[in-house]
Amino acid sequence: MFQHVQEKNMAAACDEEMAIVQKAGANLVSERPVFSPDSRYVLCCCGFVVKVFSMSSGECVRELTGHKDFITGVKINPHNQFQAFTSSLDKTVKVWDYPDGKLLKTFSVGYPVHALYLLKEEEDAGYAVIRGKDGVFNLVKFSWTNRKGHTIKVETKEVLRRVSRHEKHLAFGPEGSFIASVTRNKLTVLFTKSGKMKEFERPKNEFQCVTCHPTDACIATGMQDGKIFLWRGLFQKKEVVRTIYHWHTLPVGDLTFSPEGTYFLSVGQECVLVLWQYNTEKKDFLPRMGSPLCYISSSPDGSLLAVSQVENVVQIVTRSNKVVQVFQGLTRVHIPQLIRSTNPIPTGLQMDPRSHTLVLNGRPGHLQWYNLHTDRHLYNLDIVWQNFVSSRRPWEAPEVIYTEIERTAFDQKGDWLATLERRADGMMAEEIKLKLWSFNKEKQSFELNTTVDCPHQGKVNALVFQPHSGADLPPTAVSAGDDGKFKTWTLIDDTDIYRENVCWTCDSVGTYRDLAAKDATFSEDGSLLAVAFGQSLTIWDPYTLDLKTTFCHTFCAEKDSIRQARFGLGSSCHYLITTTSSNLSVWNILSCSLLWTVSCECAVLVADPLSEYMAVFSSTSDLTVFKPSSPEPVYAHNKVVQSSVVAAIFFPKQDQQAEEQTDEAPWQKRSELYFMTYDQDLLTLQKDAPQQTRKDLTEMEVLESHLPPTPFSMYLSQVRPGRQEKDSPALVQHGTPGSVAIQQMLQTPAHVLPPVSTLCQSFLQMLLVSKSSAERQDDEDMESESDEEEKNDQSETSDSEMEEDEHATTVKQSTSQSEKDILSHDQTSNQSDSGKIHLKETEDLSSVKSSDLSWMKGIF
Amino acid sequence: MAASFKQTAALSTPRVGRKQTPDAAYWNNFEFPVTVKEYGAVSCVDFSPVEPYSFAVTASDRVQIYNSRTNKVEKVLTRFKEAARSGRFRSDGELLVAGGDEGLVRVFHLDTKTSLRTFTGHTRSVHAACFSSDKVHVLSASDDKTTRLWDLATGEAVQTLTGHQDYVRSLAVCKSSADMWITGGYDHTVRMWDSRTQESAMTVDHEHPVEAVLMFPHGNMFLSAGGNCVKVWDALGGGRLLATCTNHHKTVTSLAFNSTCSRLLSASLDRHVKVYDVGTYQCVASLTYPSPILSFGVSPSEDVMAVGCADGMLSIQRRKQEESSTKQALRQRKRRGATSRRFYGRGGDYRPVVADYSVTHKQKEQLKKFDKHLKTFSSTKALDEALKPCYPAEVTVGVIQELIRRGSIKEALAGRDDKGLELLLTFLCRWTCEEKYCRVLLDVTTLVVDMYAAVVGQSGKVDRLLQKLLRSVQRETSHQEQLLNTLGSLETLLATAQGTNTS
Repeated sequence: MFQHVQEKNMAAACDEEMAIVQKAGANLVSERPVFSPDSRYVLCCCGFVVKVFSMSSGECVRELTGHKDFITGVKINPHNQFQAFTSSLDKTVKVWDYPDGKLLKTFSVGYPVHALYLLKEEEDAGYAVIRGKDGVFNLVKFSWTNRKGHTIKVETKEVLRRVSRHEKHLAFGPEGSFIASVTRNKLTVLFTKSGKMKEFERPKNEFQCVTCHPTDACIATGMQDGKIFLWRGLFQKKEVVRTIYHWHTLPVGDLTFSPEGTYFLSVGQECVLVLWQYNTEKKDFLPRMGSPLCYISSSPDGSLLAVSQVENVVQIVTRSNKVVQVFQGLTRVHIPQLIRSTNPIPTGLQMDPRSHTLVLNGRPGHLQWYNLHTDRHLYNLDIVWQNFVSSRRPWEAPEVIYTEIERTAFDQKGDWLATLERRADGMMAEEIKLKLWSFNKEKQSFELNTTVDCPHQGKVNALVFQPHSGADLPPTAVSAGDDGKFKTWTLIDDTDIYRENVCWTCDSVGTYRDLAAKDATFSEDGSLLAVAFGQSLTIWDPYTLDLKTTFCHTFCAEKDSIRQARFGLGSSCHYLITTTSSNLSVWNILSCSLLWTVSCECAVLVADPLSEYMAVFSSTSDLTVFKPSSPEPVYAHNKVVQSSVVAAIFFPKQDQQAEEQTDEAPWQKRSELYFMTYDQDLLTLQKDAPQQTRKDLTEMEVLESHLPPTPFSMYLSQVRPGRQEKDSPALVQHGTPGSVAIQQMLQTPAHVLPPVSTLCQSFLQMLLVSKSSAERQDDEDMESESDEEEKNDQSETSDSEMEEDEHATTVKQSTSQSEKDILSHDQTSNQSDSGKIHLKETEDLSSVKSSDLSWMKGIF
Repeated sequence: MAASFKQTAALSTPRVGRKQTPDAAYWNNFEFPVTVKEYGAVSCVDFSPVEPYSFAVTASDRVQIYNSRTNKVEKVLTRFKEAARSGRFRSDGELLVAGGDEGLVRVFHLDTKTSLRTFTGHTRSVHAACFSSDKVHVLSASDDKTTRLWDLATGEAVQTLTGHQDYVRSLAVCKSSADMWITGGYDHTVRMWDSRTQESAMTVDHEHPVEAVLMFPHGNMFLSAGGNCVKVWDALGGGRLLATCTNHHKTVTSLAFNSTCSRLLSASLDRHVKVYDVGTYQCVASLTYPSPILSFGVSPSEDVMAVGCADGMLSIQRRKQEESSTKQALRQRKRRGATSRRFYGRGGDYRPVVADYSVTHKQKEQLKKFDKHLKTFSSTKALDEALKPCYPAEVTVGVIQELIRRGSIKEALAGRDDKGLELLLTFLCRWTCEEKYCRVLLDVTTLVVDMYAAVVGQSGKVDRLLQKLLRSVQRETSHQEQLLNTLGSLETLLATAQGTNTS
């Protein structure tokens, strides 16, 4: 679990030292991912750190931490394949040994670095895009020739003025012969040797990205109208030849050439990876990648491609269009209709009570399950079941409006999930569906049980399950909508003679003065239902739907209707908290009176399920934690983030029974407060700045040691267990192979053999070994046997030493096992054959057994 | 392929009313009925228990034996001077017994059509007669309130049982015991009789004149029908009422089991035959006929169903023949040729051993044609395909909805020629006012009318369709207005009623 301080958010003055930290779900796709030269690792910029993902396991095996601001680029040192350079906005470039995760050097550039380029031809110099003092982005060259020490201050030399700050807007030609830079409508080519410049303008089109052919003097640019231009003949005096490749309808997202330059790849918002053959018109597609693609990079040998998707996923694709690995972070909502709205995650943050994971909007029409404690994306559940269609061209009306999940709710045990999806484009009839999903224990996933078409007319503002305190009542859910109705839904038995089934049905409908129902909530024990209608808060009996009482915000302005209503929990369960756009009020249900009210502009109100604390975020992102019983805040933090807070949740801590740390605030003892900002950063509050409590390095090393190092060992690890199992029964059948007496016994025809009772003694004596010599002799025996075994079984001799050793021990183990089997087997056969067994013999046998065990101990 | 194409889902609407059950599908899977006009009301239909399952139809003064394969009359028994009643087969299908309004019980030999015995003794008409399960006795129930047991060999009455207070109109025997039978009378009672005693062994009260009785083959339970209900009685439990089925709304006239006794069928004057599950006595299927039903029968193979109506119509239905799998296989073989089958099917029985690396063939997903067009973003083609009459309306509406979601509905609707427009308008005329689709289709209709306002008057067919559309929308609006009016007046009434109640 990585943690870092977002210093710019630290500004606020608060009574206690609490830091805003991002604990999970950072953005993986802010920059282009980079392959290591052997394609075993992929390096991704991830906020203030670089994550090193293992190709074979898909795990994050290293984190390069040390930068104090956002990392803007990562590059592998072309002269040392175990080193990586990273650039950051903290005005430094750092060199890392990424397989070990060690910081080697720090170059202080003096300006925020926005992009970094390294060339094979220049061993101790690099190029960086910096933001100069005048606010203009320039490409500079910095070199570290003959400088020693850990931190080096480097000089910068300006190469090209007025470039774009994005990495994909600048590219270097083969052997650094030219530099191509695009800014809006202009392509600038600077020839490094001559220092001459060529400029090309496309006044009606915008350049989106640029890349250069690895060997030819050829530039590829992606345009806003979806065309790809190949510019050739740059060094000739004649007009430059421009070839157009047009498949994309939307702006080209990123372009890259294969390492050999035989083809190039383009991605865009169409969610399609397009492979173009260089010099021909042929192309190949990988469609339906799931979400718009923003970056693509090719592995050094060209066999793998890393495709970054805006939903925070990096997919590794082989040349045969097969997805082999997926590195997934917290899925980000990217559809424009939600980004434009005030809340990009309309479902808010929910906790799945069964798996204790976070559930929120993810892909369009999906819900995602995210484990906060391990920072891992678990799975997506397709709720809407519709194909994701990429957006239309900006000038084409109408814009695509996606069906999006607006409300979700889990019942107390996590057996039922209710989702509400809605599509409203303002032109055609609205599409609203309430879906109820049951948890299938065998498949360990949710299955659709009931779909209700058009449960409400218009927006649905609340969807909650009724908590049951152990009562044997059918599960009940309540939905409340802008159509002024709230409906209770209950599970009914739909069993007939053909199948057993349960389904949901609308039980009752309630209205109050034709006002829009803005929120609905249940008390902790589920015995009261509160529904907010305009300025009034109505309390109902959920079983009979009798209106019990009404609280009215008469002191508020006319248009100031209730936004949220929550019952207190635990010891303050007799309080009811309501928020309006200007007030926060607490009502006492027992006396039916207003307890206290404060003036504050509330945006988000959440209650801790494990204590009585509640937290409220104002629309200016001020956090207040309070107890419903008193208007005194327990904790206040002004301006937690620059942008607005759109959702929050008190998430129970992983180990509830663990020792409660004394230095923690009382409201943080049992749950952690997570909140989502408008920019979709999932943040939490922590006592004082964390000292880079990194993930256990030992744990990570163990993880890596489990990874198969070579294909051969991988093969062995697959083969070994199977062969062991096969060999041991065979040995039991044929007796101890080394023993001559047994072989003789087996080869002699049965009818000439003496009776078994006479053979028994000699056989047992043959097995008996004096205790002093037992170990040695047996070991030798074993050794020879195992050698034989190896010759028989294993023709490959090119095994590594370590593995050979391992193999030998396993064989020993199996033989010893088999010998023991023989003993026990013979013992039983003796009993059955001779009918009686001497006491002495049993003693002998027991001594055999004990000696047997002792030499086994010796081996292990 | 990164992700497979998700097929367009048909618009799902909640089904109003009865759900389609497998049983309903089974019992409605009959060919179009053959209707025969009989001489009078068909009072009894009985199938022969042996192949070829010919059936006896009692109507007016005759009993006719129909061949169940050809639906033709094979034999006619016309010895009756008055109306014949209850022509029923013996369990070997060789003899037939029939009562009649003249008070006689006649036994016929079917092969020779000769009357073997005539039992005299009843003083009034005999409405029910049947063979006992030992084959050598005949039972008859008469309007003279008695039930008689006759010996087939001597032609004498063995027993005369009295107890009913009114006409005895129904009779059923227990298949597992020759000594037990039940009768149902118009005195609302069902009586169980034992030939070893004179008195009735058990009496239950049905609360309606009993029209039909039926006994399970094991004899533990029996059923009675009368009025609009069917009642299930537990004989072992001393005549305990187990269940009551009141699915009919007129008098139930006839009862029967299917071949395995897992389903109960009842026919009624309300023109329905209902099928019940005998475990739960839930109605699982319902069949409708044009006129009130007096009697019906199901062949032991469940292939033929004959229903006799009060207006003398006999409807004979045969089950639709399913193409058997062997036939299909034969046809496939014919198509491919035996040699190619041998060629392509070679090694088909090979079982992979552990060390084998098996290459799996991934079956390509079959997409509907409109899905293929949607996949390639050709919206006009997708809509044209979905509008074809071969797709049910909910599929078409599903495709239209998908086009709306993609924002390409306008492109799909625009630029149509006469033929395309006709197809579209025909669909809209038919379905726009349908309640479950109108949410989606009203918007589409508005769009179409806006778009093609300019072409009005250019094609007669299109104009006619537009007129038709207008008419259907007008009809629907006036209908809705009427409904609203009714609702308004109802609300006034209810409000007034509430007001008076509280005051």
